[in-house]
Amino acid sequence: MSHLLILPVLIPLGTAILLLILRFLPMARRIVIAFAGVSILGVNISVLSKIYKEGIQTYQLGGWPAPYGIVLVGDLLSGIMMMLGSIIAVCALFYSFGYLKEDGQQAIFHPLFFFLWTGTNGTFLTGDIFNLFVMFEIMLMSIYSLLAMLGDKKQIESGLKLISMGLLSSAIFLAAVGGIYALTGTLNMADLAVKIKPHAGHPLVGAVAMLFLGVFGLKAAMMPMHFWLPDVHSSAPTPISAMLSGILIKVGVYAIIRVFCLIFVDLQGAFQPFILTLACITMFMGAMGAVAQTDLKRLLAYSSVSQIGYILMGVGFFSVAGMGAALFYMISHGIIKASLFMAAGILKKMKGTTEMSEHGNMINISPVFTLFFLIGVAGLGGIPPSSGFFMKFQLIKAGLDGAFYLPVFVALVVSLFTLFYLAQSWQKVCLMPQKEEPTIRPSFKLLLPVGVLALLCLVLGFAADPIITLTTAASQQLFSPELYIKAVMGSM
Amino acid sequence: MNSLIFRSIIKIVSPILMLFSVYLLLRGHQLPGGGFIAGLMTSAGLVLIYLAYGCERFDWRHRSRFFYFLFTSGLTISFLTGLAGLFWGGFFLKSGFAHVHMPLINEDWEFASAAVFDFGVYLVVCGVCVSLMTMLGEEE
Amino acid sequence: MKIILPLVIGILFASGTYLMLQKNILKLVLGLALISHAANVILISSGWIGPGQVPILGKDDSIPFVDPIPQALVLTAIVIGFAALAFLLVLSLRVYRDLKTSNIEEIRGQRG
Repeated sequence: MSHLLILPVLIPLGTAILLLILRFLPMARRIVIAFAGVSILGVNISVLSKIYKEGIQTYQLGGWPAPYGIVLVGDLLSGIMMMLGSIIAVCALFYSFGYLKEDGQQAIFHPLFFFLWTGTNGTFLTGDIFNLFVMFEIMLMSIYSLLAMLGDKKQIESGLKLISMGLLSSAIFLAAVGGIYALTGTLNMADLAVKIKPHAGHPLVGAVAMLFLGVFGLKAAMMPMHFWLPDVHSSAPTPISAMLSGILIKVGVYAIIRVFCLIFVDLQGAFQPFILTLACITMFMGAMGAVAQTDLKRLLAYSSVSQIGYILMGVGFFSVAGMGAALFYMISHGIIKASLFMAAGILKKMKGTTEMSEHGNMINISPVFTLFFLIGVAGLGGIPPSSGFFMKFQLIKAGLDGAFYLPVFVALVVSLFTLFYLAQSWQKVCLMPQKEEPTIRPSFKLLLPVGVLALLCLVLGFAADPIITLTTAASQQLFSPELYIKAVMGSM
Repeated sequence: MNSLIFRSIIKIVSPILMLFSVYLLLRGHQLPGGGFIAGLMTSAGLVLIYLAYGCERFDWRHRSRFFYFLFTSGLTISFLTGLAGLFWGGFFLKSGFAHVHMPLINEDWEFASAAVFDFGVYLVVCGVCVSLMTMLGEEE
Repeated sequence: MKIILPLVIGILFASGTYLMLQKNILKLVLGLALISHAANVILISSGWIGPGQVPILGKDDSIPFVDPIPQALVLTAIVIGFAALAFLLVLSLRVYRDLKTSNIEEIRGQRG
């Protein structure tokens, strides 16, 4: 059996521990980080290509066979999400060298960052519902620490908010796991999918599904539970903001997709109107919140709430086209939003604030920055050469195919607002005259990751075809859960 | 918290706690016990000493590097045990065991590789708990 | 016994929710602790509610078994909850030291 599938979890974990050991050797730490970042990216590429060529991969931890032990399962969805996560993480790592203070901050940041990476990769790979909880907690715990240790002192409240949210959601998660275990006597997701079939219509199944939707919705900042996101995403250190908005809120969406496309397949129809309604409200209210912001990072955070609404809408269609569109949307939005957050971080580095009224005239100070920012704005706004156009186009096409006219209408209206607030922020930051010249220019170290992500956004736009083929294949795989079940249980 | 009664009792209680925690650590593979609980118990003993004597015998606050060393080495041990499973057992976290004949008590003692993992957990819990308690107990 | 656990869970959840709604930050921490314990009790009680099969290989049906999985799960959950609560406690202490208040309303007012 190949050990490829365990590596995306193992390498970041080992690196994190190594970085803890090498705390007092900054040069050695840098070498380890560079080596680990590149190797995780490489491993994820090979995992994705292997899954694409040979179908769903499984790995048994400790050698215990499927329903009894913990399995790692890599299907196309997890492969794509891990790939997206590593692209953003590598850029955020590079960015952190320029953004954080040399030793004190970086010595704290990097081990925690690799623990965070372990958690995200583990969440995408695990095939066990309780292990999903554990991986979630690894992820959340590193974010708590990062926020508390590196966040603004004044905004420590956001850390309190995040931890309270995390503890509450893990309590609900545990209750849901308890409910489903009492019903079926198993925790393996593939086994659950089989054993829950005879209980269709049991009231506990619906209750558990609702609890799962609540927990994952809380993590994805679905509307009634979005309150924590703008504070947390805007007060986190910028590399972490990029990770949070780029990949971590999508972890919640990933879990919703996984649970509803594998375990609660029968409940898709019953939950569809509910998810679609919430998605529409999330889209709309997020955009409304963003229009009112004067701080660029808060604006981007509210915009993340709004965009999560789009992704949830794609999921809520529960069709192959809709799910494929949602996956493409996640990839594209992750890359664009990470680049925008990093651009906001450059502004923060220049003047110590991200208030838009404090900035201006960036077009003369740094034309490159203006260009990258513009690409990001065009991307989220859905202007053709960028990937943003295809992500919205696909989503709306899928909606029209499924005759969901009202959500499509809301999505179109909200995308106008999106374009409005983003263009306005770009104009304020880049074109408006400025009172005082900044003393610090944007450094190359900070601009490079932003540029790479902006370039990726354009590449995704010009070469959308292979990515769309990939996401469609992933979505087809999601809608035939028997493949997943066979891959896991067949290795018994 | 520095009454004479409390201090005298701590002198007796905390060695017992430490000894009992080692017992819990060793029996953890087959019977109730294990690294986490043993670690908690050890740190409970240490925290009791901290409560009774403060920093007069041992300067807890300026020993943060020692606790850092404790939990880093614990993490390393646990991780390496998992890796050893990967290299010799064929799977990550694969556990193996061997019967070791103990000369003094003349009995076979089952030594599982999971016990090494547990020892790592024990060190992590000790380091984290004690540094946490000293952090909470710190005065301004 | 069958009625005691649901009662305990209900009381824990109710008092946890009540404490969470208070203004003092320490009460928020205690409320969250109670709620996570309620969740742990739910998990431990899931071992014998339903018709779930005990996942033990080659077990003899004549000997009654206690389902070991919920116990293992609850141990993990306790460890994780312990770490998160300890972190929350340290953080709220830091908030108290930095802002000299334990009132949540006032902490909210400090946003920069």
